[in-house]
Amino acid sequence: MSRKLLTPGRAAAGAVLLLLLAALGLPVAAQSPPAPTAPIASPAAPASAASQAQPAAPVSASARRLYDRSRAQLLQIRTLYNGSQASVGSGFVVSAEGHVITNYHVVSQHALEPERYRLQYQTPEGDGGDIQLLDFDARRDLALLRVVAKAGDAKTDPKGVVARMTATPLAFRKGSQPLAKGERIYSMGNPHDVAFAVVEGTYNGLVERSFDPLIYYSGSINPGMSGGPVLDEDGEIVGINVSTMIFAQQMSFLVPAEHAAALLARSRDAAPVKGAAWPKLREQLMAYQDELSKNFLAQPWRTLTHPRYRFPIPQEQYMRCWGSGTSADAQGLQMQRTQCRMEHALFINESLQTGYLGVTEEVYDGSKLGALRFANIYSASFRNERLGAPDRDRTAPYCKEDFVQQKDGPPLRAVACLRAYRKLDGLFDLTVLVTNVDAPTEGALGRFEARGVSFANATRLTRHYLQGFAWTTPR
Amino acid sequence: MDHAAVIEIVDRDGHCRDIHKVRAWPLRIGRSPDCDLVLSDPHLAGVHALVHWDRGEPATEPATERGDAALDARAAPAAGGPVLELLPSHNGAWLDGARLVAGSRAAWPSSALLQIGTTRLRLRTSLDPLPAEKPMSRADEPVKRDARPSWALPALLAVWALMLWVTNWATNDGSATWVDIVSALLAPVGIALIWSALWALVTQVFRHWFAFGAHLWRVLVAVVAMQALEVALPVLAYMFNLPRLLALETLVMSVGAALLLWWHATVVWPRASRGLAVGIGAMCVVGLVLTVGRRTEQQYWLGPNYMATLPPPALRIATPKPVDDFIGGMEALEAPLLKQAQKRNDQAGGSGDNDE
Repeated sequence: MSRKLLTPGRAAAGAVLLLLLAALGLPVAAQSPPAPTAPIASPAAPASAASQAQPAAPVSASARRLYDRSRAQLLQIRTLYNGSQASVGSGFVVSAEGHVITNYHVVSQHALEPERYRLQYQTPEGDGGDIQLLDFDARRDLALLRVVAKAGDAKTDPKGVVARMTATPLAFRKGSQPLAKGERIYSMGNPHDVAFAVVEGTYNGLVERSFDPLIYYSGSINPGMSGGPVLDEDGEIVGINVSTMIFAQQMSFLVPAEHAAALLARSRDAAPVKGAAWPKLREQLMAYQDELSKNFLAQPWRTLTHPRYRFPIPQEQYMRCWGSGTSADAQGLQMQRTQCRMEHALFINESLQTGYLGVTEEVYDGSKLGALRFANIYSASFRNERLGAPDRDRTAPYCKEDFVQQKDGPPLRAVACLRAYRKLDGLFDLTVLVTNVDAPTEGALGRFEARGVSFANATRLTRHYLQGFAWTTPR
Repeated sequence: MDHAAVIEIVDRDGHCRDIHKVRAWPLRIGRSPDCDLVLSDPHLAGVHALVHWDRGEPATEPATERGDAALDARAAPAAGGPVLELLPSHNGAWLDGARLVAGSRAAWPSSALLQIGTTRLRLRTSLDPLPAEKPMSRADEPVKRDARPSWALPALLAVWALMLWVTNWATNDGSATWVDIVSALLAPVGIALIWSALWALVTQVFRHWFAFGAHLWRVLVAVVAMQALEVALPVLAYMFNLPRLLALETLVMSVGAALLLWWHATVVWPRASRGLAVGIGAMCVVGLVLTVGRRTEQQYWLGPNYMATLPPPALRIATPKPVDDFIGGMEALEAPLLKQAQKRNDQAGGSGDNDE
């Protein structure tokens, strides 16, 4: 699923893999205690070899049948920089006019810097040609392309490559025939630019606690297979390869086919995208953040049990919360942390993912330390919160801070910091830090995070978060 | 012997190193023990030169002649005054840079510097006007070794050690061993001692005075003052909700460091205190400009993004605001952020997760 395999060697490819996978899969492992994030994803390579050796004899017959049937529609999508491939992914033909579906992240370099990156396709037979970007859906990580050459046109398609590709385009499985958990489905693509592969696995329903539906597929898909089709026994498209969970076995994720079908229906006749796609991307992100913010603001907060304060903890409808803390017999400062985050982020480019929310609450008990020591150590903890430095994508954080109190809530110190996106005008990253300022040896440190929201939504979310703090027993 | 005169032996800096009283004219200068002014300079002949007192032509009343000679000494040596006569030698001499070969004669006015061999001589006679007595500058007064009472330095050291101990105590959660505590205490003290010793060595070189106490006093005063401010500023900022007060911290640190350097340097070069002030002040300004230059993309030129110090709640004087006021205040961030976003920055960013 990821791209960029060959150029800078394994280590770099691994790093990219980790970044991309984090897009959908697994920030769980990346951020929370169960799995340390240190090892790089380079084990990807041996893992892929193992998974390809796996299929057992009796089922391989249908894998072979499906591959033979669909190989003419399978493509490798290559992003070229100065004639060499900068990244590779997979794609497939879905219409007689030469429409091709792949992931947005496979073509993002071309979409954002069309003057530097060119797109090409390559068939399993090694034939290739130019392909152009018609539209994309950044929220679902999908892109719609069209082969430039015309089928049957002797000038642009002398060998009849395009004619073969578009003769029997792949069809989408009807939404009215849902798959059952455990059904065999087959993922195709070109992992690590090694060779086209067909990988069989099982459909395991949708990922729970995800804002947007995502199919959980048990099968080994690997970098380079991004954008490849996943077919059912009848050869109909069920989903599109998009990401895997790092440090996990055979946990992969697919974009449901209906979104690709919708994208095709919407932009079948669209003109190729001209120039950098930032405005289109901005428009899509604006719509997405509006929907997400509205949905989140409509949810009431859950409360964390604490004798003194009520902390805002989000519903776990599309966020996952993890708890941790110091051991009960720890000396000195005691801390309990609850960390909630959306695990689905939107891929923008190599260095930027956005479109998610997160809440962290830390409760400190310094009764063993005394007021002075607690104040000092707790301040260090409050100071430690990172807000990010200015970079290519976003500005430095600008903060507003003050003492805040609701009519029936505890006095708080609130810091709201925003970073503006440089190329996505009007989108911001919001970080709100909140701490209580009424107890000499008790600390409640909250952090709310929203990536890629409009300024208006940033202020709404800040208000919503601040209003979530209250006394446990009204005074 | 009718004209009192002295010959000054001058060192390379132009200061008088030694002085020789002329007891009789003519005066013989050379390496030989028979000379009146014996110079141990290997580049001199045994008797290298003679200095005469030329009475000038027609000998007249000594009183008037003395006045004339004084007036005309430079312009007309013939009118009377000291005359240099070089005796046979290899190296001859230079009078104010002009070459004199062996055997030549020349008037030697008191403004002229004579170099024979590698030795430089100046002649001063009773005819020369004596400059008025110069008032002394403070730097030339004897160093007051008891500028502070003797208990001041140990007391300040004790205050500092106490501050260090309290700071260290307050930042650890009780898990530190006594070894950690002692080393956290000794390390800064050791650095201060080494710093003072180095300054004392420099003072030794320039002023022949191992001014350890003076330098240690300066370090301690500066460090204690800065440490006290470092505690007081955030607490004040918290009490009155004045987060921008923290910008002073950076200023205080750099200006304080510059002042300390200047204070050290005035011990070593007391005459140059104004020049030092200009130099160190300029360094401080350049340093601050560089600091600010690195932060032009930040919200504030100086100080942290937000006030992080949270002293015990009893210290808070500022009253909290309603949530709506706070949200309203956020609006002011939008315009500067959008303006900032227009600027280009090629700094590569991390992944979206770099802030967690």
